[in-house]
Amino acid sequence: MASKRKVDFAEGDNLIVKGGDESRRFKGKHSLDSDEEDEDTEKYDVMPEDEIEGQEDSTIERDGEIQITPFNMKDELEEGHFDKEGTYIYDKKNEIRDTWMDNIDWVRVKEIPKSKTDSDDDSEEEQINEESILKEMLNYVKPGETITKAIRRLGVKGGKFQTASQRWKAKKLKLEVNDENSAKDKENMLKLTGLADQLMSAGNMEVYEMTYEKISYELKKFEDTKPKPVSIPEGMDDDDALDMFAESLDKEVAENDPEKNHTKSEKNASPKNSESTNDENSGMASPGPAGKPPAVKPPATDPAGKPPATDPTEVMWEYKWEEVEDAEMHGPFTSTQMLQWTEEDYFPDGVLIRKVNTDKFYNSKRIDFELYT
Amino acid sequence: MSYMLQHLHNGWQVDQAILAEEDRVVVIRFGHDWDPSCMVMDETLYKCAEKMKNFATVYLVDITKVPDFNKMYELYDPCTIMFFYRNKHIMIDLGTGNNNKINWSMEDVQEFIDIVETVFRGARKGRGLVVSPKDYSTKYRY
Repeated sequence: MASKRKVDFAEGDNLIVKGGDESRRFKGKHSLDSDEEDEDTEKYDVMPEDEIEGQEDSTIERDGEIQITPFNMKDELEEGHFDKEGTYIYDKKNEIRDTWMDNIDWVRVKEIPKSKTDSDDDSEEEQINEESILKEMLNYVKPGETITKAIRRLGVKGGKFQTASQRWKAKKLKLEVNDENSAKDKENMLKLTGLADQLMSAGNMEVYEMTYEKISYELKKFEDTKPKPVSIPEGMDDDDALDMFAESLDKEVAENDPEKNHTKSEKNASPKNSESTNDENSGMASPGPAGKPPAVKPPATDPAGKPPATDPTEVMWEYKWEEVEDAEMHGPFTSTQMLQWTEEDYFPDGVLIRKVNTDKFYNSKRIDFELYT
Repeated sequence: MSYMLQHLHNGWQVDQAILAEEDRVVVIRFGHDWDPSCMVMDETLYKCAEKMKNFATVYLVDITKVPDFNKMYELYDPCTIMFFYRNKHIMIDLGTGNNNKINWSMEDVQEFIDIVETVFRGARKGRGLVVSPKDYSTKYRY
């Protein structure tokens, strides 16, 4: 019969589980990684049950209506254990572990909302919104003030009076002279909070830390990205028209001038033309594959060729190619710019770099510009 | 000068100092006030402390009075500097092979500030290991 050959699976399982710990060669840990859990195995050993003193066997389960709990740890030990020092620890067997949750890179999460809005169709609309919001914000924030501070300034209605009695006294004296003013402040405060909240929900998590200067800088950036009123010829995109040396623009003008009524075919040909000059430029300016440092400074990426607007909070860098006193200095450049260059491998052997206003040079190979952007 | 920097007198204080700091790097010097190399380091720390007050805070710990961390952090050198951010030990690639700590004393104030700034910027971006601006491997030191 089948029943005779029955195998006890439960016992087999137990055999495998036991004896994992004794076989470990090292009792303690031998590295000091910051993300390593500190589990001192000796300290957190399980206390054997018979070391718990003063336990009694269970007597009766209930006395009439009253339930009797035996004076021992049997039930508790089923759900957890004591360590050597007598701390009771729940065995987290049933805790739900979610691999999806474990895989979230929380550092990245912050970045996602931005790129998401970028890819959206209505991103254009959103940007315009942001600009107008920022503009409006400038009306409420004073120079050198962050939005948080502005809110606090507007929010405290008669903030000088700390206690209730003081406030009462003041009220008696001034008889609500300030009332009109404070009502206006309150309204402004509510407006500012609302604007900040709008930006926050649009994915800008640092709104409240933005200073007046930062807001104006952001606004300036918006203005820069806007198409220039300077006539950009039709059939040409801004990039071509505003390339570094503005060569194509000149060319276009030269082409157009002799005969003002040019045909459609010529018009179509011009973008191609400008494109080719663009290619020449970039080919010329980038360093050769041999890694020879470019004689001139690396090409500026700013399409208009003028120095980019600077964020007051951004770190600026300057560098030189050789470790001699009078080597030519290049810069200052933004961290974003430096990051781009290092990523594109403009400095294959590294350069000597320092932050503007400091005098200590470091090798650019050891600087992670991403940290400064 | 070191008495101008705050000492931590027991393990609990050290833990609290690391835990309580929300948005600055906690720089801890483990060593002895009377130790010559610590004196040098403390001098540097003292000069730095004011300049870095926006992103770092400095504490001194006597490893004889507070031996709690000696084993865990392997504090065998006369002077050790370690960095923490939001209760996390931040490692630095100094080129020395030991990324856990600075175990010599530094005299250059700007150099030390630059290291702490790198630690702060890295830690804030979620890095557990940052690269120090300067390589301190022996080939450059001698």
